[in-house]
Amino acid sequence: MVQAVGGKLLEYTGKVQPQLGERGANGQLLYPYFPNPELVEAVNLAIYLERPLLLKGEPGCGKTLLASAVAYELDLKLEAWYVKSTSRARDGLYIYDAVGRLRDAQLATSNRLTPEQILRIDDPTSYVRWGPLGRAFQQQQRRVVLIDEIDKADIDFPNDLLLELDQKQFFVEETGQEIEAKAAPIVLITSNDEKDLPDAFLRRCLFHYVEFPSRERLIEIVNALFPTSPEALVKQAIDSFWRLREKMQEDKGEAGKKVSTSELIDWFRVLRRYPEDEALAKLDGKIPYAGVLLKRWDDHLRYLRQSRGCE
Amino acid sequence: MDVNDLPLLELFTKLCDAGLPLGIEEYQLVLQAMQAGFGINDQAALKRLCETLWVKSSQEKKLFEDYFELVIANDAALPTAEILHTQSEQHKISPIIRYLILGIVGVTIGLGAGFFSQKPIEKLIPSQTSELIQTLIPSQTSKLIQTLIPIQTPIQDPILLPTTKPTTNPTAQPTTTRKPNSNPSPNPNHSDWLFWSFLLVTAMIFRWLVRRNNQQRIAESTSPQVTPITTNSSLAAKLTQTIEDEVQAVKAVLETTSRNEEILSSRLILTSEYLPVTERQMKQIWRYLRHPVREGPKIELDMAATIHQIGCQGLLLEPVFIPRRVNKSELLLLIDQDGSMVPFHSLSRRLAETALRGGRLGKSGIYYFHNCPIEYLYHDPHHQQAELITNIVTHICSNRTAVLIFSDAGAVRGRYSDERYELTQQFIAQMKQRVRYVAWLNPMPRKRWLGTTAAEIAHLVPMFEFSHQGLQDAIAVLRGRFANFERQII
Repeated sequence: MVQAVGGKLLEYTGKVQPQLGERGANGQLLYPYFPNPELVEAVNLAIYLERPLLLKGEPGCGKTLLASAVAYELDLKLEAWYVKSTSRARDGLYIYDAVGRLRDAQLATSNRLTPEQILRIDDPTSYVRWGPLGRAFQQQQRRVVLIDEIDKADIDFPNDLLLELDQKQFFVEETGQEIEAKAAPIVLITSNDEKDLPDAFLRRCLFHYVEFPSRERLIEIVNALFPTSPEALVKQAIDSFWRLREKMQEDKGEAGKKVSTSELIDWFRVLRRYPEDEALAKLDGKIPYAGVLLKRWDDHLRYLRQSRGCE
Repeated sequence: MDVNDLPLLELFTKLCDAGLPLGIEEYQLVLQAMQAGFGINDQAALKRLCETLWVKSSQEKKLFEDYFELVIANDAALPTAEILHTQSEQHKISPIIRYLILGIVGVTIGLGAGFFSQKPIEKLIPSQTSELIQTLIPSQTSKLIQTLIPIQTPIQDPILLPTTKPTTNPTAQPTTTRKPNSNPSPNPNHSDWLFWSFLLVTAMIFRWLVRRNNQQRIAESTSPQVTPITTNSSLAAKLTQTIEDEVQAVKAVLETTSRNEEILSSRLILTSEYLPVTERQMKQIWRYLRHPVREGPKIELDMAATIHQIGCQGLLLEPVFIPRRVNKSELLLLIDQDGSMVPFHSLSRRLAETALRGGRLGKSGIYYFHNCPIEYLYHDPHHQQAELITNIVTHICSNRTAVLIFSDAGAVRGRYSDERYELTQQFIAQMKQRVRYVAWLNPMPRKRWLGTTAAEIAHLVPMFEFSHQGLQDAIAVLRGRFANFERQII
């Protein structure tokens, strides 16, 4: 609402792409990202309503990359929070370095600290280390916050974040500080559906299921990432990949792990190391370097059986 | 596209009823977003908007899509006040015309019979029409009609009854036919005016009844469900195929089809599976089964202990670390399989799946038995891999293990079996030597336990019927909280 009143409405179009080889603020390589229109709309809704956007979808379909794409296009900073099984909700807000303070207090008693360091001890806030969400709350400009794979953490984790995401404020217990968001961050949350998220949390999120890209879009993605690759090779590789994926879908249904976009990109990277005719020969009805695509033994077996059947 | 013109609220309430966790805030969000220009271009945009804001999982998405189709996309089927009105008008007019035509036909036939044959009608009726009546009409009505045969008019009835769908107005027929009965039985040889007046009276009574019947019909049809049957049945079919959460599906379909007797069969298909607790609820309930214990490597700083240590020693030598809290609750799920439990297989499968996903099983696990555990329990539902009960009790169970038994305990068949009771008693006694908490889930409602083995077993173990509350109570017992368990049972 603030942005709407202010006249400047942030809008994500999904059309502004980084150049190949362009690096982000932290030196990481940036890649183009091709969202479908529904996803773009969901992102804009989340920006407008200032609600977290929960992204689900099969692994490797580009949920995590969306955050950096949004940040790139809107020219905002990205705060990434990669959740681990040991993560606690508070880690994203701040960590209080109690041990450091204790150490400093010890050193102070033995007169081994400089006057500046002693000043630091007197200020309790100097031991607060801000987490991604905590940092984003304190900026004047909106930031994009990625909470990656939220379902990896304990089941209490999402619920512990409710208040912070809802009210956009939190307390630092150790110092009594009250941090209120100056600008609501654009929060993108990804989930691999490993655990069910609590209803109360879901209620506060917008939800979008990231669909697997269509065949045409896959070609677009590969072309954008490897602009010099020969057209025939791209087509042939995508055809083989698509056949494999469809077969997997047939065998495993909706739930099983299937080959994904990120695996396709890796696989294509291997293929294009070879001259075009050689790579095409390898692709002829077969899947070379299947190890890049097939990560499970039963998938391998199925593939081998199938290719033998073809011959 | 005006927001007020859209039946958004109807869609919203329908989705709420179908079990989506939506609140007023969610509805307001849609309006707010529409004000900002989202979802107002076309129907697809509106659908995407509502979907992003209201739908939180792929199951819900399927449900949403069906409802959207029903309420918004299928605009013609929209029960707005206007459409309702015209529909009820149609209902009002067409049957009246139909009945009137039939009445006229009946009168003409009667007249024809009166004028041209000039014979006593008694002769005509028993010989020719009674056969017709008996073939056309079920036995009960034909009896009624036979009592009327001496009267002149009944020719109306044999024709009318079959054509005017006898099932729709079962009460109308007896009254139609009884009324003339109360008239003084006219002599067929009487003058024509008597015959005419009688016909007139009958026609009037008939018309009055038709009107009354119609009013009833209109009252029925003005209830909100006027959506076409075809959409409903296709919805039902889709839901049966796609939605995993059958409880929601049943609820949704029952709601949309509750007034359409034509698809009663599809309703039966859906409800043939007995699933009183949704998958989501089960998962949520399993979460309560926890027993946090500090265990493993010491990685967490114990602030209080560290400060205490500094207080004692005067300086920080090293911080005190403690292990993290981990959930050590273990569950042993024992499932009664086959026999009387066959109807509940999908339920037990779901219980087992959610327990596995909930990760509360520790090193114990899921075992199967038939009727009651005798000597062996089985790792698989097909009773192939057996394991000695004594083995399970001594090696697998610990005092942290909670045992949950899922069985009807003989309540399905409704009999009492001494043998079953004794065997169960032995098993429970054996278990209790090692395990502290045992609870029993019974898929049959509590009132059906009376007089069966279940009622007796319920004295041995806290037994609950399989419902949301029952499952919660069972888990409470497994956590050592007996607050909800009343020992008064029967």
